[in-house]
Amino acid sequence: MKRLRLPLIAATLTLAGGACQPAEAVDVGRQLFSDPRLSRSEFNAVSCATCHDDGTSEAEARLLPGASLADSVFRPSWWGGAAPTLKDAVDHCLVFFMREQPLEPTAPASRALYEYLLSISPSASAPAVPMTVVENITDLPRGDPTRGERVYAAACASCHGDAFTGAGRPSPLYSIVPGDSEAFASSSGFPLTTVIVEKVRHGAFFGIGGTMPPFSVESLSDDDLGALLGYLVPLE
Amino acid sequence: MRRPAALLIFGVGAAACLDPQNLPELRYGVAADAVWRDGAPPVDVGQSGERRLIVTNNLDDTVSVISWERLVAGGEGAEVARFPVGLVTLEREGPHHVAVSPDGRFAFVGISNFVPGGGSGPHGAHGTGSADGRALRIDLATLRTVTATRVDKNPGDIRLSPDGGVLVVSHFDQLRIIDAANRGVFAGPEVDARLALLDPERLERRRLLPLCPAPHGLAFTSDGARIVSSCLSDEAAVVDVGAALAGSDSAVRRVTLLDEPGTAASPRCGPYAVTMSADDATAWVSCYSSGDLIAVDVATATRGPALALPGLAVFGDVSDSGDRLAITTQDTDGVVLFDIEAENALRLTSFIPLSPDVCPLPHTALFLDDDAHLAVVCEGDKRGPGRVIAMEVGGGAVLGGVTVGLFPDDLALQVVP
Repeated sequence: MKRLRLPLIAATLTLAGGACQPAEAVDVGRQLFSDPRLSRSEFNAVSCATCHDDGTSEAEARLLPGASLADSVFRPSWWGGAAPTLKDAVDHCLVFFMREQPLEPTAPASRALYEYLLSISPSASAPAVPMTVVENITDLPRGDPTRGERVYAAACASCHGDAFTGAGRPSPLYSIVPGDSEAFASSSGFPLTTVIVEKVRHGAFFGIGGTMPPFSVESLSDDDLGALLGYLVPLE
Repeated sequence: MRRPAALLIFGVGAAACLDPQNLPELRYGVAADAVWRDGAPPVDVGQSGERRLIVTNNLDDTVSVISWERLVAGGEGAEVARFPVGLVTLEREGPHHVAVSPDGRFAFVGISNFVPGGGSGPHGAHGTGSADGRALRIDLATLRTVTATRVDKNPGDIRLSPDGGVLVVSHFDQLRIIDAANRGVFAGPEVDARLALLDPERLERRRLLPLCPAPHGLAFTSDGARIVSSCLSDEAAVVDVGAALAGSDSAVRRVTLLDEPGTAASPRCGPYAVTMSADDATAWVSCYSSGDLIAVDVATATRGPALALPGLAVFGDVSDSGDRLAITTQDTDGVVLFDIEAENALRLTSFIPLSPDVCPLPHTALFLDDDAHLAVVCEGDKRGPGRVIAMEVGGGAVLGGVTVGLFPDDLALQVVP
């Protein structure tokens, strides 16, 4: 067998390095889940996994704006009832956060992604996940900065990189926090903390624009948000 | 360790060649016609011939589907569906008024983008009516929006011609009036909003017709040849639809409704809704400021007699027989019933008061069941859920009611195809 090992590896390398081989859709879907290239937009740097966990343990330490996609397929509705079908929900993410068009239902990538979501949805029925959007913004008291630093690492850093510098963010298009909000706060006359609360709670919606997803009450508590303010905008 | 090593190499190779836009051949576990199946409950499309009320809920961006039969029977389980509408998922877009195609297949909903309290922050309150409106075409078999088109700001009423060939949208654009008033302009083209005349199939804009200040209620004549619109400047407007679609500049005749009218910025009547007589000769304009109901002669575009109602006049309906008129009123909540006599003279027959626990702020009514019953939309407190009720015309007994979404404002009848 020793003599056979090298040719086997060589053959494998040849296959891998040449044309792509047929693959299981569910496996490709798993990769697409974490691949920003699911969107063709040159301005996108995020994937499904940026905002959603798929039920695996490594996501547990993060505070994600999107609901877990484990057992997501057989829910009765999505996006807090605003998306009446699973595909609507996925399309909303693609359109609003990834700058892509809705999926063609039977395109290979679309089918592969569905098969992966199905593979992590073992329950024949699952409850809808609540999503309470804070529509009218009020300022919040600043909380513990140390806790806020942890909140930042868990909720913000994957897109915005290090606080105050943006180091390590996946795209220079994503803002440096809180620096890029200061100019707007200054020009609008609103406190920087209010601008941050609005951005976190509304994301790309409510006339703000951009591609940030909103954090609902369920995905980020007011206490955590207050702590985040304490870290990003410390009292002088 | 040999097999894992080989698999690892193969796996790296597969990942390296993974191009989401140009995937390798895939082996599927789910058939193409079964993908994207989910846990959403199937749409209850109803039985052929079943009557349903389609109701727009302004404040939560939904549309309710009400079984009329269940509503008349008491209301239990009458709301058979409530589905989201709008183009931007989380924005409050204010679905405002509804029409249904004569074949019962499609609903048409105006998106007003005016939702007070529907979102605020440093970037500015959303829903101040400063964004263009939309008209939506919704497939009632799937409850999905199939076509949308941009119209002007603050869509008011949305109505289909009786043959289903023309869809019209008025624009209750008070922002335009305020902006003009701030410039010292109180009348003229800077104040007048437009009437959108659309092709219902594709929602193509066939004409954006300058009409009058803040037109709201619209009513077609039965032949679809004319439309009468309320105008907030204490006027009504009579539109020649054929001339309008032909591009004529003289398709609109305006009627002053008072001897001493107010202005668009400060109306005395506050024209708000229009109800057309069965013979198309008379349109009754409801005044939301004064509570008057003012007749307009459609052929001559002249003002007729006025009646004072017990409350502020809102939308209503003429019975199928053509001899009864029902107008809802607010402030003093209820339904006013008239007999329509010779030459469309009105004789008050009854006022049916509606208590706040039964029907707060009635906004429109529709005759059904050979004019024996009325369906009434009740706005609620304009912040919380509203109701739809079924009531007897004779005697005013409330037969059933159902809670719908936040701040409902209109209904249209669908006969399931």
